[in-house]
Amino acid sequence: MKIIDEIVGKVTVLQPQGLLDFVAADSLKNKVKNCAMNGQFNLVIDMSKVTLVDSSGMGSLVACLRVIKKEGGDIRIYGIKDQVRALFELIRLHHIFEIFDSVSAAIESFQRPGK
Amino acid sequence: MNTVLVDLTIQFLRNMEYLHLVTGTSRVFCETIMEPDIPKNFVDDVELAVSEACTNAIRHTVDADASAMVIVHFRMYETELVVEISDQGSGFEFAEVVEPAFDQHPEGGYGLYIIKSVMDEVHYTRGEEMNTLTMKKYLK
Repeated sequence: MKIIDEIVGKVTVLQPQGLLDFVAADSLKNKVKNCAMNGQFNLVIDMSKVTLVDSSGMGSLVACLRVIKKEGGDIRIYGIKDQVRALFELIRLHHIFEIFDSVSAAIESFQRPGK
Repeated sequence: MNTVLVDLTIQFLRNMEYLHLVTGTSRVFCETIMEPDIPKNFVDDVELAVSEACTNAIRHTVDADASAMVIVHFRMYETELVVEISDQGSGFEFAEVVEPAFDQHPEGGYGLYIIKSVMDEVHYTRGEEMNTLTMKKYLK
């Protein structure tokens, strides 16, 4: 899976592209582990170029969040389509991920006090 | 009588390399047949269910021979789509699969729950030679 990354201040924006399924899950997990190793703990995952997310993809997001939370960071989500938003809600992941309607809002959320 | 409009079968070695072939075929198949009044998200829901079911069929047949096949059978009727996914693994007890522990946010175990949520009917038969998951989605 192709994952574009961009650093904006103290925030790293990752943009996975295509299908986020079992085949692609390890690519995302490895990318996030590399971010953690490089001290990048404030992540935004831009899902606007993801065409399908299945349970393996959702599981990879949970695994990524655990890696980053362990380091005191967080992952914020942006750009999910309606079907993916419904999937987040179906398996209750909207309780552990903050989801934003714009990438700038997701980035700025890391500036909030206590974040 | 419920007439079959299109009937398509894909058979492949139980290898993740072929997952995208099947999910892509599912999308094209549904989009080709699509009628103006079918439910919103029909194509996305079927693609998701096919991805989940094929991932399970490939991953959970490790006890099967390396030459074991997965067979995906799409049938579009006037009123519904039927997708059957068959594998040669040892199978599982469909009735004993429990819901995920949502409050613990596990990293896996959501597949069957998602399939049941996005499809209208889901059945499973465990056979001596093949196990088959049958999924139906109504067109109207």
